[in-house]
Amino acid sequence: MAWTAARRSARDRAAVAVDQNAVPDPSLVDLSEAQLVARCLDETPGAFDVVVERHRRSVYRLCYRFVGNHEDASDLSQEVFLRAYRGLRRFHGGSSLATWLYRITVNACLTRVTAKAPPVVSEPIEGLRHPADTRTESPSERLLREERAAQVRAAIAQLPAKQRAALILRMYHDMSHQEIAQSMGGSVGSVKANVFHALRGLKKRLDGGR
Amino acid sequence: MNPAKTLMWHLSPQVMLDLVEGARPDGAVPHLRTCERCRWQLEELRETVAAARTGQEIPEPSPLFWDHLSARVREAVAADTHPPRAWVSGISWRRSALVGGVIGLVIVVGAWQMTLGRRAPDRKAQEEVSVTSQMQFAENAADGQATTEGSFGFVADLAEGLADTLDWEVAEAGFTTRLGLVDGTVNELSSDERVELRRLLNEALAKPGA
Repeated sequence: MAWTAARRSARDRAAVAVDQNAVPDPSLVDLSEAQLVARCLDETPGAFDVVVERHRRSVYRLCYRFVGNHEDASDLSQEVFLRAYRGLRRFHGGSSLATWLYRITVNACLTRVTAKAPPVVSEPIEGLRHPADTRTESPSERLLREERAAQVRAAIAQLPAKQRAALILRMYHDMSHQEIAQSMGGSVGSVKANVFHALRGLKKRLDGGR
Repeated sequence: MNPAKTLMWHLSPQVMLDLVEGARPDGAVPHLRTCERCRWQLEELRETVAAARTGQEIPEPSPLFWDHLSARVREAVAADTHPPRAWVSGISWRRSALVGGVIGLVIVVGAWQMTLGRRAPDRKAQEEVSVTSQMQFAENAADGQATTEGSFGFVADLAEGLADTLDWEVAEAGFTTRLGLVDGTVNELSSDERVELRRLLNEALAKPGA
């Protein structure tokens, strides 16, 4: 009976914290990270929606770099936020919320790529667009740039999982070695070694592709 | 050849990465001035970083995707805290198999314990039963009526007798028998067997170093 009551209570909390109408309270949008987490834990309606809104782009992009295609990146992003929601009570603010989310994302990605190797590296699918400013770029230049970017992504996708994670977080998400060590678990020294070996592996693969 | 010239330590991955990332100026590492190999490797790593930067862009999803992702997360979170199904329908086949296996194991262990409990209490009675069983088997064998059941009982009794002679406290270091048991065995040998044994012992003692 107590168990049923606890589950019902959890369901009620979810209904409150994740507003089904998806219209976050405007007052939540300007809250600091700590305040927002506190509101989530206080079951404020729509608070977790704001967390998702703030971090969905970076989480998705990290997932995409790992798995190399939109569908899997989308599924992984959803999984990451679900894990974050479940574990929000264990977040004590020891690191930033972004770092904490990156940690969850890296774990989810490493689990995924280990279970489902090798990753699929797809070209842009229909309905996706490029953010690059193409006003000053000729079509052929743009084509070359995209081709080169796809080669680099494909080469990165072939790196060992931990090296790939360290390189992606360092190169494309501007995280410090310390933050990466926190996200991946391990020391700063091991992160540097992973980035170094990832760069050497990348060089070898890019040269091999020429 | 001067060993000091041939033995040369090269830059560690950590130092190399610091140089690549600009965290440490080239001038701060005197080794670079003298080591062609490290200079060349550093240059190569810098080129790789530049190449990797071209893979920074990833296809940008449609603006509608972000709201779609938020909605998916919202639904997943809400579904995650839905009341559980009735406990029977909620059990997967794997869990059922696991539960079945555990129940089966408990039954087997229980039956085994009951069997032990029936045999353990009266050691004297057990010995009497053992002797009776051996006599019964001998009688059956003499009559040419030794049954499989009788054979099994005799083997079990033999094993039990052997167990009595074993010193279990030192069994971990290798099975051994009690003192005096060898003398008893020698006494049971026939005269021919004793002659052969004596011959083997003399032969062994005559060997150098024996």
